[in-house]
Amino acid sequence: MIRLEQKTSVMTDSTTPAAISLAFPGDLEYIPAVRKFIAEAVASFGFNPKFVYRCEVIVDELCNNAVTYGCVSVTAAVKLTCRLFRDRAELAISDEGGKKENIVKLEQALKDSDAADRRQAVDKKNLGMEIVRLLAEKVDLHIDETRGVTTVKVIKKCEETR
Amino acid sequence: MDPQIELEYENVKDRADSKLVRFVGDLDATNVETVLEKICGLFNEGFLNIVADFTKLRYVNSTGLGILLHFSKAAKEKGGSFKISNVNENVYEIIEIIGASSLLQIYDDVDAAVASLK
Repeated sequence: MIRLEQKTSVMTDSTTPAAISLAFPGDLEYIPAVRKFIAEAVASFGFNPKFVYRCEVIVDELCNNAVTYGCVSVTAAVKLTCRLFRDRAELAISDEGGKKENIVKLEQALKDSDAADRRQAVDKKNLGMEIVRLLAEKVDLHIDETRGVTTVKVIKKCEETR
Repeated sequence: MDPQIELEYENVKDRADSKLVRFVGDLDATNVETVLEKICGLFNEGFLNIVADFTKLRYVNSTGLGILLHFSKAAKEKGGSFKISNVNENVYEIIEIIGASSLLQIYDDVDAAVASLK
């Protein structure tokens, strides 16, 4: 079950975002509903269709990565926060961390890459995080070892101010 | 759960070894297995050339892109081809950004894709 934890719609200036937080079980079947919900939220705030689509792709890829590699227990959940500013969306996706080797792979996938690395990503089918890195302006990985939580934070800017 | 994608099939005129497949909906991690089964089924039935019409394919993610690359490779290995047509701007961006546009055979429309069949 997808649980909506918080939703605010205050966006009076560029520093006061609208925010949505939700959590869902670590199962791929929930992701289409999650990505479409976030896409509709982004669209409802007046962002252009291309920006909405890119946000949908980023949410999809981050959620897929979190479910596939960061949800090892049967009760695992993924938490997503989306904050919408006038000129950008800030997304944060957290999971329970997963295996050390998967976190190392995630760190490597989020490093800057050139065309040769991109071809390698295609060959290795490590496409999802490469797409996120190329679509987003900023991608940061935060690892909280004490709580066992891995969070990927993304900033996606909109070229056209609404 | 809604499968989110439907495949519609049509014969290609004067080409018994080819099939036109229309993708309708979203191609993602929740339905790639179904699509894989159906397209590989066509290859196994002797349809070596698949022309995919993406007019109504709204969305594709990395998992979907991976399966398209697999179809392209599998078709070549069988002596056939997997051609894509009518790709919308958003889907094309995802294909291009990862550098896969050079790995896939992409055409403006179905007629151009069919005309290119050997």
